[in-house]
Amino acid sequence: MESRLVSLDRFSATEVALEEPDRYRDLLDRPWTDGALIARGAGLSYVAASFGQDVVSVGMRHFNRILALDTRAGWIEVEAGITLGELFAFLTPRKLFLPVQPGYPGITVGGCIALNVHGKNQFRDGTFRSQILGITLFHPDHGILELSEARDPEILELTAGGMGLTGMVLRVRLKVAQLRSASVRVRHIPVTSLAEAFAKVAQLTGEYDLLYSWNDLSAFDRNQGRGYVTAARFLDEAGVRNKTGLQNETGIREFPKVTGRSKLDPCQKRFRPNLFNDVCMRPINRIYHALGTFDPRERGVSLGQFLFPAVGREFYFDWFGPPGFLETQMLIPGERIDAYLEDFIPLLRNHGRPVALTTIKAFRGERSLLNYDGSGFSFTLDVANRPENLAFLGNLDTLNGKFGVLSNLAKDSRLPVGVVREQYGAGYDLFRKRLREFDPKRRFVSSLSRRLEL
Amino acid sequence: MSALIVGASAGLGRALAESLARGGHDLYLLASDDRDLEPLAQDLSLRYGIRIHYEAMDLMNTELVGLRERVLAALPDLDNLLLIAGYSDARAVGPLADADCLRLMTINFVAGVRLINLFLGHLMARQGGNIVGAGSVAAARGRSNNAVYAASKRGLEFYFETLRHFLALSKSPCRVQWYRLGYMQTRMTFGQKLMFKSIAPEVAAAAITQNLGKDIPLRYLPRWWFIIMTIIRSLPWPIFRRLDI
Repeated sequence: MESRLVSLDRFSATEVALEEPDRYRDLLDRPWTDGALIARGAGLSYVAASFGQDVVSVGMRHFNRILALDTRAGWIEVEAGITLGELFAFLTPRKLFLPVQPGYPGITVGGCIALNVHGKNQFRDGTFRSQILGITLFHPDHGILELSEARDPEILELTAGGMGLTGMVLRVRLKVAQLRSASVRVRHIPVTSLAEAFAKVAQLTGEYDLLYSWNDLSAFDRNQGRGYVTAARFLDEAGVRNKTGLQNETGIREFPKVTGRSKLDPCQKRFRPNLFNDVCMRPINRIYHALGTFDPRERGVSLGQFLFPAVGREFYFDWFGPPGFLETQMLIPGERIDAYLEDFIPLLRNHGRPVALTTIKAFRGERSLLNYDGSGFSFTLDVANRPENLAFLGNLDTLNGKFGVLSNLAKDSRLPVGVVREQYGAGYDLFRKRLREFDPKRRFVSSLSRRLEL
Repeated sequence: MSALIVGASAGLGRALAESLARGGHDLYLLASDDRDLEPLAQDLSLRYGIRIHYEAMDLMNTELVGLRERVLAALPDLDNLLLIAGYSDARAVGPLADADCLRLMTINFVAGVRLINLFLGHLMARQGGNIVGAGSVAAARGRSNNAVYAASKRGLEFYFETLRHFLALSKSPCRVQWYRLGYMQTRMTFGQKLMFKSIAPEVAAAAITQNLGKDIPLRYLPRWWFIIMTIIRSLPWPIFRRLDI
């Protein structure tokens, strides 16, 4: 079927052939031609990772079944098309959960693997690949491959965070963690400046189960990037129920099975008002800040609401209007944060345009291949897709080069290959080399892989 | 409560398996490929804790020996037989190759009749038993496209009509339900530009599950297809012969 597929930020759009097999015969027995392919999950990636010009996108949403669960050993095996919401609804009543998951329940597990996403506490839990025990991968030239630390670990490493370029993930075995409660106790800790937010995140990391900040960079001269740090702890069920009176007994929020279009679907044609313009963005952020800080007391929130904050706030993505937006996410080495801010703040002031959303998370890990991983602070900015903002992000790339910052390839649709080569260095070259060794024909291709010259 | 679903691997059959499992039915799933049946069985068993069995069987296979025994050994209290399997070839316009013709008739008609006969004796005696068939709006009026498919489905529909009469005369508590399905969001319609709105298989499955136990000689799903097909069926031949629908 000819379809116009669009990235979540609406920066990239392409007319492509989309197929959606609903049985294994149509996926595995089909004589795939030598043309380019790419697997597609929910289509909710910020970047064009699941489509490209003259590439057949293979939708995997029908392969969404739960295959096995071992509560004692702590793992679950699922097909890659299952969504995080379906998994959450299954695991939570069994007092289990995936510690690492991004903020929308419609995202598929396959998508999480391809982009090696992170959750609310990367510092403690790592990235998505840290919970992968094994992957069943299909490649038309290699057949079905079982990947694990014991078997083809290099291909496993290449696949987790490999942007879908090694083949189609059919199944995955994931570690699951014991859930102490289906509710969390959340605190919003106000901070008066961007620098204080970094300091507060650094200070509180380790104290809380889940931690990130929100900052208002829409009017830096007036408020210095004030905001609040969201800090949450799991509590025992009874404690939360008694003290906060959550509406339902378990605090579990069921999410609808995503079988068709989710509310986030960027391909869906609908009215998108351009409210995040230079005039409105500042008052909107001021209101959001006031709502987040007016009550500093701890409160009980269901785990579902906390893990998937984008639910019910899908309008955020629409409010950038038809041109969409750009997200850039940067991993800044912890020891260089003060020096970085000294250069970043003048750059932001000179730019003078509002930033719609800013978040900070603490990170800890090892850099490898093209994974967004390492130690420091993950610093995220959303801006409207406008020429002035593109120029600002270009200047930010230069600044990032100076401080050894790593940009997240899964978030930034305009990141030039030169910047990626410079930032990822040997990791970029090694990924490219290994990918070519595994798949000399380079059958799995997307707009993202073409931009990055992979 | 238990059910045998024929054609359970994808589309409406899979949606029905999920819907019935959610309602606590034990299941026996039949379809052509156990690569689809095994994960579905694992999934439903884990999610809903039901007893579930599956068997890969090609409906072109003329050998049904032992199937009844295997199904009833697994589900001695089998209540429901749901015939969902169907096969359509969009290229099936005009004269067909004999093998294609045979395939269309066997899967859409012959296999259905044979499977009903295999389990009729058991189901006739079941209080709350149901025999459910899935036909198509394509079978409402003969037209040039998809002729053998439509004729086969119409044949099975006719067999359901006789079955209903037979069960009534026999004073059997077993109920018969026949559905003419409109456009559904399955592989068969994926990517096609359709004249009317399609529905998700889950929506149809929920309706069929809810109707178990009722006597339904013929019902359109979704029900507004009744209006469309009544108009099409009422068109005088001089007009109908000019329509390429």
